[in-house]
Amino acid sequence: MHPDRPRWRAYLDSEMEADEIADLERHLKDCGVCGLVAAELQSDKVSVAEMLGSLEGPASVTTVEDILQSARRPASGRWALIAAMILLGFVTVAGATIATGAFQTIVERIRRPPSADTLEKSPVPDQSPALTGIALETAGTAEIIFLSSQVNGTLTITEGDRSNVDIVATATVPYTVRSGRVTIVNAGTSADYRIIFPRGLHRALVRVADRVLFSRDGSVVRAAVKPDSTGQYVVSLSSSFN
Amino acid sequence: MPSPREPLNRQETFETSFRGFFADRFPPLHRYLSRISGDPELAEDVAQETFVRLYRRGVMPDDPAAWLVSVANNLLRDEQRKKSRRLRLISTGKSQPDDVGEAGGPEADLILKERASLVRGVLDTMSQREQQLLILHHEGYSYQEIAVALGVAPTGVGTLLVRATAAFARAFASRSHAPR
Repeated sequence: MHPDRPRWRAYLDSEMEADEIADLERHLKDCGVCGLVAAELQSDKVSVAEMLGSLEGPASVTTVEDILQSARRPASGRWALIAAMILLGFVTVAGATIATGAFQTIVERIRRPPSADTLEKSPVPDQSPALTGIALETAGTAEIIFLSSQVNGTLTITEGDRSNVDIVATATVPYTVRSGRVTIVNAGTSADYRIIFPRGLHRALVRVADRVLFSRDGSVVRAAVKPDSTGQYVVSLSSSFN
Repeated sequence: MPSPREPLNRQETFETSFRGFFADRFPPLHRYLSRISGDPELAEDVAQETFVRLYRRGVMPDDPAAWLVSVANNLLRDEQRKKSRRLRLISTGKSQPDDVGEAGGPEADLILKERASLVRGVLDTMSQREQQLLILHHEGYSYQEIAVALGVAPTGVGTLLVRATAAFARAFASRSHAPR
């Protein structure tokens, strides 16, 4: 009696006990029909694996420390609230009106170019057609992750007298906010960015792909470049950093 | 009599196994979620939340890999239901990351993107269960883990895989030969 297809499939997937494998291999030696079945199943299996392999997306940037930090933090929902506010802001950009004060601040920054003080010494070109940005309330810590390096693009990191973390970009780029972290989905884009951390923020981190470009832990600051004469850290987002 | 040190030791032991488990299981879970959802960002969020829940649980489940998939599938379903929760700053320009493959220049990129789009279209013709089954298996999950995660009999996984693989191959052949 011929083993059925699921058994051959389990054989090909190494999901069998040794004695069962031996049985099937004995059968395979003398049975051309089953040989063809097994070959067909193997061929389908390889084809499907190849096809599914083409759905490969960007690698994860999450570290176990991210998880531990998030899991140990009380679930205050603060960032979720901010996220919801920003989401509402997006709806507002499409034409609705705004309800609350904090909300207003965020939406205004999205709608119009930053104020003069934000643009001062900024690498952002004046002709930028759609300067966009977000302002995020923090609880003493902020992490900004760029998922990819870029072919072009400059990142300027500075500190200012403000209560929010401001992130300003020269182009529209998708991002998410979660658990104290902003993840910017910048693959295939070439925007310039300016990140302004509140002066005195306890912990800050900026990472591009798997490379940390800037970190602050209390008074200890580490950066991939030295600050310029104005105290700003200006780094390239190009692949040379990977 | 238990020493006062014991609870801490248990916590340390759990954290040590959690770290090892994270290193081993976060990448395939993230890839699975990314492939099943077609949304790497959402996949990252869901995978993170799943591991946060595992850590907060304080003990490893009987079959941790299957537990992760089961929780992640539920979270993903919830997130997809309230899709508007996704944050996206949209005014002008490109908004969707579509970086499938990087090396090989623009032509190779285009081919990869076309293929990814075709595969996504084929998966969309299949049931959610079939998609989960194929992708979990592709990510190296065992029959036992797949069975527990998807709530099917372990002895039925081979049969389901044969059917799903054949359905995928048929749909792929039909779509790749169809005029565009």
